[in-house]
Amino acid sequence: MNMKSIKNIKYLFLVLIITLSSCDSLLNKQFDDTLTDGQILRDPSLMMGLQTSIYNYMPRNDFSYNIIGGAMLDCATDDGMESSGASDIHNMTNGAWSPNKTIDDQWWRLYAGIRKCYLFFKYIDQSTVTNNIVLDANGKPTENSQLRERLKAETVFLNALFYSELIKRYGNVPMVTSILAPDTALLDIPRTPYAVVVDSIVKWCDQAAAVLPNIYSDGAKGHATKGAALMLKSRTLLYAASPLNNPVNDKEKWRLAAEAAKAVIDFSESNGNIYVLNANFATPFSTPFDKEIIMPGKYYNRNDIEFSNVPNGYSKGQGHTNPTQNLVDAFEIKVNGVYVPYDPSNPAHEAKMYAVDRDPRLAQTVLYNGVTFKTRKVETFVGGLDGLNKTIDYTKTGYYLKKFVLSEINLDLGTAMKPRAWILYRYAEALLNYAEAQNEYLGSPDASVYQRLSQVRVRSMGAAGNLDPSLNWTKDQMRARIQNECRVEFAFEEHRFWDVRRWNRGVELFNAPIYGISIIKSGTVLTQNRFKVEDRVFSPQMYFCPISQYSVLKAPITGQTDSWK
Amino acid sequence: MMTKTKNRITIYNVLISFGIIVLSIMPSGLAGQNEYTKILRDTTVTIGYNVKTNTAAISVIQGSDIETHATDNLSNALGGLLPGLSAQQMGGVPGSDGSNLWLRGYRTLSGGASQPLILIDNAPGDYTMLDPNEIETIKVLKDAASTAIYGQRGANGVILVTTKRGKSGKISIKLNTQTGFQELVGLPTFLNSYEYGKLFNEAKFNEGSTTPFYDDASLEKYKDQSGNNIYTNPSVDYIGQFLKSTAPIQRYSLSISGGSNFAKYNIILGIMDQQGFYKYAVDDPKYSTNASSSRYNMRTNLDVQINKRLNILFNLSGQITRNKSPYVGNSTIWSTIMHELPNSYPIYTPSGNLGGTSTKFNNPVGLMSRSGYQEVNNRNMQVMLEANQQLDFITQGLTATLSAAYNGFNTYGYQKKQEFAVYSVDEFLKETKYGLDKPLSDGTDLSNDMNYSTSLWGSINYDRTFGDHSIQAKVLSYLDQKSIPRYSPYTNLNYGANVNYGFLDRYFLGGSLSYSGNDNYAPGKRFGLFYSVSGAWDIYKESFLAKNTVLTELKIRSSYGLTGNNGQVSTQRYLYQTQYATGEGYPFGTTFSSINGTIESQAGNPFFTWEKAKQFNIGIDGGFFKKVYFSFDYYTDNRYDMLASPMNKLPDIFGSTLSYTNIGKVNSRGFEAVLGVNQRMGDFRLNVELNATFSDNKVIENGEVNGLAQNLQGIGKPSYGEWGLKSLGFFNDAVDVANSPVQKFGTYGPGDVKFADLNNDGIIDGNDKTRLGGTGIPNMFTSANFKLSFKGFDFGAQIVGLFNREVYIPLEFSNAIPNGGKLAVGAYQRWAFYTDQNGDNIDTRSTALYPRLLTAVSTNNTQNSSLNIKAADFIRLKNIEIGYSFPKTWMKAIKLENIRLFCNAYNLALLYDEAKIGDPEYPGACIWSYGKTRILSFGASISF
Repeated sequence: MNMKSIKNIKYLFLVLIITLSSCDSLLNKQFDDTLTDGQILRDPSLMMGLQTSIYNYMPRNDFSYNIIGGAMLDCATDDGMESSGASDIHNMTNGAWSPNKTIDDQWWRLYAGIRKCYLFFKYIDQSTVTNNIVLDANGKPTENSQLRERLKAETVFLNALFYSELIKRYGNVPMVTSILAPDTALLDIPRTPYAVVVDSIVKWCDQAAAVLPNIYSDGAKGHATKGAALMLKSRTLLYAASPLNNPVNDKEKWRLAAEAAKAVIDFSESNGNIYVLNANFATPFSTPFDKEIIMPGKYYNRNDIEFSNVPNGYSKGQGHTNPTQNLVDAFEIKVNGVYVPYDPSNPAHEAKMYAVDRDPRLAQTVLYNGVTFKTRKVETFVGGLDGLNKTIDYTKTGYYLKKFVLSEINLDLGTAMKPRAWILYRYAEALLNYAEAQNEYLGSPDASVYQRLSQVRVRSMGAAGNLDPSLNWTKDQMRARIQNECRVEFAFEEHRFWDVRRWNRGVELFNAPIYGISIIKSGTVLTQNRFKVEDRVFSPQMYFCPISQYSVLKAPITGQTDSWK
Repeated sequence: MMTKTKNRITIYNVLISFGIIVLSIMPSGLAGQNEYTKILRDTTVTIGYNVKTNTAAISVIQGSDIETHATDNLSNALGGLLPGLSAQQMGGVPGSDGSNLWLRGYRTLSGGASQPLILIDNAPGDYTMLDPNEIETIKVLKDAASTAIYGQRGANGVILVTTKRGKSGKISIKLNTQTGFQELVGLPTFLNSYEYGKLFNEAKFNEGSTTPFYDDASLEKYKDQSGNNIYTNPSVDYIGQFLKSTAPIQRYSLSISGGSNFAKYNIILGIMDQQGFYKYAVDDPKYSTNASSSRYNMRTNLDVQINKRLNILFNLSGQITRNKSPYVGNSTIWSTIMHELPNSYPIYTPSGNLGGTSTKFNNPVGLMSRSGYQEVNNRNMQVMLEANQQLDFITQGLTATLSAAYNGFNTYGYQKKQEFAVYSVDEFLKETKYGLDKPLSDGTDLSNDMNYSTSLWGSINYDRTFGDHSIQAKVLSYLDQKSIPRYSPYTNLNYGANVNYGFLDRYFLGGSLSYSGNDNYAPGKRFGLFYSVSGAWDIYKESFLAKNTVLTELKIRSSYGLTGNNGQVSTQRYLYQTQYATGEGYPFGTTFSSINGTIESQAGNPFFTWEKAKQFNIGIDGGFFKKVYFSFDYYTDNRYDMLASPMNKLPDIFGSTLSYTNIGKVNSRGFEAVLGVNQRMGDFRLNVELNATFSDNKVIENGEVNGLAQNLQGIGKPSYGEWGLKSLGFFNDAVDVANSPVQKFGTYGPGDVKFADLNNDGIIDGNDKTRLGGTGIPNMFTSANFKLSFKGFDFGAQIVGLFNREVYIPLEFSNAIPNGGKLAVGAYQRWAFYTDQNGDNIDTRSTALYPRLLTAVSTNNTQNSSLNIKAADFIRLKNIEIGYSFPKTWMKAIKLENIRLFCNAYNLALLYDEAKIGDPEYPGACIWSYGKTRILSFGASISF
């Protein structure tokens, strides 16, 4: 070989070696064999899917009504008791509740939901989801007009909802405002004060309400609406104004709460009555998208509500939820055409404990002895088919749950189901929120308070439930009636647990015994006796919920809920 | 504990005294050729990519050391041949009976990637498929000085396999034949039906039964297997009936090599066949249902000198393997043999049908001969082309190399199913058929896969001596890519530089640098810098030692560097990237139809990176009298950024889960020692070499929860081992039960296992666990290698000892704790305290090894504890070989170069066995996959 070819070979070598050094791009991932950011941005249905999945994180969308080991949350209030004793919920009422024994701890799940919101916010604006204005035949924007903005508004609402759940349970909470990288040092942050979070929630609700549609077409029902955003704002401000979170009783907070509740009422009334109190109190719980519902949870065909709550004497019923005598006594009784508070020491009232004279909601909420359910009468008398303490799973209080339970569902056919969802907000709450806030704001209740309170009562009780301003109640008297109305209207809807806390009445009402009714049947004679079912424990730290010690160890700066420190 | 230490000291004494005896009988004779040395006496070593180094910790195995190795898998030959390399063989399935290898102990977190990088002729490949005759050397690179150039892949050490090349000169032909017999070792001894029945009665009695389950008449029939008793009261010895006592293994190879100054070649052909132990397997030439593995190897290595300056290397090699097993698979057959009760059913019914019951269709005769078979065929091919160009016309000492390699792997498996009916036999010998007999069906696919690796590397080298100074420098880059169809390929790209400077040929300084990248990491975070600095001093060349005849060699060397480990399992790919999946849909609308949701299935971790190791090594090599040689190395390996689950440390507001982040830290350190002697007296040659590796590690961080009780902490303890309770023995009586803390695992009573309350909270539950041993990884790995030759005879032996280790003893070895299986002879060591029917007092309380017998599973007794995780130190005679080479004069007469006859044994015997249960290396092999074997073989090697 001559010199030239040798030189050529030499250059070839150098060239080849240098070529190797520019192979950086060889390290790029070659296949998109899993869904990656790129595909999410390109495919609008995948991007919308990111938003859809967030709905699963709304409260109680992850399981049944009887969510805490077979018990409803209200079994940790003076309204109810879980019958089997095996449920974890008893630890909320027997003093065992602590960071080492957390129950229904939503801390992790709510932050997971918040992360999903910020993931959506991060990508939505660069995605291919359309944002065109789409008008209907009347020139009004359809529900899919500016879809991107609408989806963002829904996500803002859901994010606000998650934070409202966080502060309700834990008081001050750390705020996440973006997708966080897994840098432990940056994730252990101090908690933001309750009032500051409230301000953010209010701002977000306003932001969402400005964009969200009033109602959806049949195919899209279940998405967040303007009413839902307004309702979230109302409940948040009401809680923020309540004594637990407003110890100095700043009247301005009550005013804001009243204003927010009024906004919901005005929104409904001025848009052709979007929300209407259903003439039948029980119907909204079993009729999907009833006009009384402002925001439902996830609808699906189910019969778990019946399996969990139908009295034990009925085939396959597990009768977990036992309303207390305390609750039964809260329902008013009609005397001389007027509903008055029930007085257990009044024999005239006691004689008519289960008579038609009682508030109709009693029969729609509680199954008591002698009432017809399915094909026979309920027998909670001692020794009866559903008898008090018959075995460990039978009622401990003499009552079973009627609310939510559909008698037409045949539990022997496992396939008999009806679509139900956990209801987040219904119109009755807007009315009562307004009445409560307005009453607290003013020196004494004005006509609007009586009007809105009466609206709720009249729906169930008829005209006899109406309250006229001429009654001239003081603020305290009105407060007592409103609080009682909340109790009987929203029994077992997870209101009492939080209402008693925000009214700062936890020690008074929950650190006290619950009672039941013992009925002895002798021939045709029934003898009723109240008895103490059990003592309950409520200590001051329980106004808020603890997070687990395990979580505290992972983030010492964030630390524990203030009351549990 | 005291006894254990005492035993160990005794063993060391034995070994050391043996060494001393050998040394002392030697006259201080002439120095012979160091034919048997394993420590390189040359100070300059060529390692991967033709890098030269004087300063690194490297050990070398010669191909000739492993040529006659009896098993089919080379990894089984390596453990014990040199310090720092330990191995554990996990089972005996033909075709899959290799060993796991560790260099310098186990240095990662449990479950981490701990295997060293293995390269064949500088390209990634599977060396276990090679025929031992293809191997020239195996170099093991242990410290940062030698492994830093491998960048992200060097932290666990590197094993370089170099295949044989031709030599110029007369053509040389060598034919090797080897035939061996495998025998199973470490099998349990099961009880026959009579013995089983009596103990079963005892178990029933323990559970409150008052009448015996097996009455005396039945027991007598089990004992007396005459007449029809074998059908009505069978007592089947599964191991004896179904497993052959030996199974053959054979190997043949032919090498042809030679060449001239222009071209050299080496052609190697090999055949290996290994059969399994199933007695009733079909051996039809058309198909066989035995477990078996056969392999054909082919290799041609060519060196061509194109011109004075250009030299080309070309390697073409391939392997064809065929592995077979019965259709149901080896695990099912072994499981049946190990678990099926002796009295379940007779193997054959009176009319010659296969026995069984309405629920048991696992008659091993049927499984082995009438269930069909599986066959997996692999076709692998490797090609390598390397060009070396001298560039001394640019400047003297400059050369360049360019190399490309391809390694393709193809596998195809299929199976053919057959079914058989079983017949139960009642006490009247009436037979009832269950199932159907079906003929062999058409085949269905079992597996179908391929992958291939390509690598490309190039370097520019400079090697020059200027008077007292010598310098070897190199700049290189390489690219390795493994492609698996439909997945992203695994790619490594590396730029490196290495410098070796020597002064006066006795002071050396080395440095290497690597800029190494991998596709698994985020763009911009793929590359990292790795380095090492090292030095060495050949003290023996100094004037004050040069003339010393006692201390004839002394060298000290040290290195420090940063290497990486990017080994990954499939769930650890691309963790920097957020991945999504469809899921969590929601039912919108009045028809509640579910709309698809999209979820973040993997939260991206932008900080994801590789494991790093800071490694320090200091070593002394030396020799006395040019006969005795020694080498000591001390090393530390501090690792950080190891993959571990962060979920116990990541605050909840993160809102998602991460499988891994780089939070782990483990510090390891160890000590290697080699001591050897070469002696030659006339025709007598001797080499004895002892080596020992001590290694230990400590977890600094593993992502566990803060504030755990001492016993539950993994931090501060070794990274390997099982977790379990500490057993205190057995409850003596009801009083003992009442006075001890409550155990929360299930019901228990006298005779059941009693556990220690390690966290002192008054109850025994999962919080009383602690780190036990149990993975078989030893703290101390020693071996002794002997080589003797006298006239035509040669003798070699290798003894391997593993200490400071524990293994998990499968319950099947006694089955004193029931799980539906049968009892083994160990069951007699169960706790028992009662008077039997004959009025004899049975009291094993003080010597019991196992709890009382029960027929129902006791969740209390089956908890993982120190009861079934036992100390299992052992010393094994791993290899012993005797050979005879015929005298040269005889050879000349028949015009042959050499004939050597040999016989050898692999796994011949256990010289010391602490646990005394099964095969101590891995007792579970015969229970869960396939028994381990001892192999006796003989053969001949003929050179033309």
